[in-house]
Amino acid sequence: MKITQCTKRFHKRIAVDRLSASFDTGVIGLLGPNGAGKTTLLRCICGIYKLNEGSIEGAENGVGYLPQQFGMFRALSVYQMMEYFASLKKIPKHAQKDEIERCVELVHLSDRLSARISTLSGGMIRRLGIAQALLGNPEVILFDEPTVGLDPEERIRFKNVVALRRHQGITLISTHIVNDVEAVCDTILILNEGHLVTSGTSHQIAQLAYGKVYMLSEDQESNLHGLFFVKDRVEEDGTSYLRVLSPDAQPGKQIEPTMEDGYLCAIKNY
Amino acid sequence: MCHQKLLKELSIFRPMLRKMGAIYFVPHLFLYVLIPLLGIGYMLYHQDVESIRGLVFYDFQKFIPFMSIWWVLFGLNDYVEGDSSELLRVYKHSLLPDFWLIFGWYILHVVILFLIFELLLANYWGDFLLIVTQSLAFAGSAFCLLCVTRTLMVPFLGMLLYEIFAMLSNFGALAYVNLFSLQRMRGVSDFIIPYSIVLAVSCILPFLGDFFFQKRK
Repeated sequence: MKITQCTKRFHKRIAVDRLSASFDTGVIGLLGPNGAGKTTLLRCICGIYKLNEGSIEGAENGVGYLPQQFGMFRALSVYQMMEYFASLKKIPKHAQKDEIERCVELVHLSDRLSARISTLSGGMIRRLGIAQALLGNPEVILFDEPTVGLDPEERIRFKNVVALRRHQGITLISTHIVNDVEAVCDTILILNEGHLVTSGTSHQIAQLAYGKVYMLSEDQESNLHGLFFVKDRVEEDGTSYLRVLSPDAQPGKQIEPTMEDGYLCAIKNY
Repeated sequence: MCHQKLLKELSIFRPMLRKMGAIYFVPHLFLYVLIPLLGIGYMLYHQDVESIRGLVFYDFQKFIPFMSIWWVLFGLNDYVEGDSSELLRVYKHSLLPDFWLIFGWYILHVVILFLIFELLLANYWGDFLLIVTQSLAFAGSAFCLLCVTRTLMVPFLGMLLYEIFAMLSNFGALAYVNLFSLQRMRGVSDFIIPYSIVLAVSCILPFLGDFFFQKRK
């Protein structure tokens, strides 16, 4: 997939600004704060939005898509709903049953095939949304905030499903939850205010915060100066410690950065 | 190839009707309960067959064209508004086949009603083309408005208001913008002027609606 100078404006507001990127087969994470342009970019890729400038190649053969918010037809059963999506995705009738069972199994909803959508919980509907995106094993799958409303076990299951697809096509996951992308994504793109800030592997992103993460005791807080961001407060052996990100030298000891540290440094331009 | 395409569209069509739940049966209530009951009432209280035919003909105009918007609006509204529209729009690029399938399905129901009345009172097929044209005008306008406004309320209320207008103001200059006919169709000439123009415009409306549906933001 190749995105070239992709620009999307809504009146005077620029949601995505001259963004270029290219992806090979694998799992790609789109990370960014709220309003960074992640959803707009996904909508441009799947054809909901028309680009103002630029082009997107590689999604012409149809995509699997899970939007941030979506509704299902409450009067239908899980199987009927999946059958409907299978028909929309033009999966041949004779192959639909096996394909539906495969996808429903992946999201752990096999025992709910005959249940009405109206009886499902929010998390189950989310899983059904993931299952419909997987139907037909499309070359490109776009997940927008896929783990919202999922319990920890189902989050792990989702990560495993994504990991299974690693060599089968492009899977794009948009989220602002760093943990969701850290474990499964081969490449991570960080977006902020419509711009691509940086991209790389989770290790490369973490290294953006190298030498900028400090651990100091709470009584040293008053000595902090310049630009800094208190990321965490932890209690250890009865003493409170602060985990601080800063581009300036600070009191306390420097520690090994995590990907979340790297992400925050990229967003805050440290 | 065309046959396969039709089969694919039919496989989407069935769940689309099913997802409406109980409201799917509202046109059935009008077509197969209300209209026949009114017809039986006319037969019981009127002696003159021609006046019964006239009353039934007016009921046809009152209920059949308006009910043609029901499945179009409630079957297709998920593609244009609400939580599911974003997802459905990714997978569905045109609503034109769905519109024609829904409309065809509705007309099939109307044919059954006409068959019933043909058996009871005879001499109704002359009006059939008029009712189909009026139904297409209602359904096409509702579909077009649905795609343009992307909300169910505007086409529904718009068509309801037009229905009330058509029932109450079929006289003077207002008759020119009223689809309802005061007299039954006794020959082709009754239909051609002015309904051939209405039919032609009504055929264009679904295409216009689909153009707006396909238009991306």
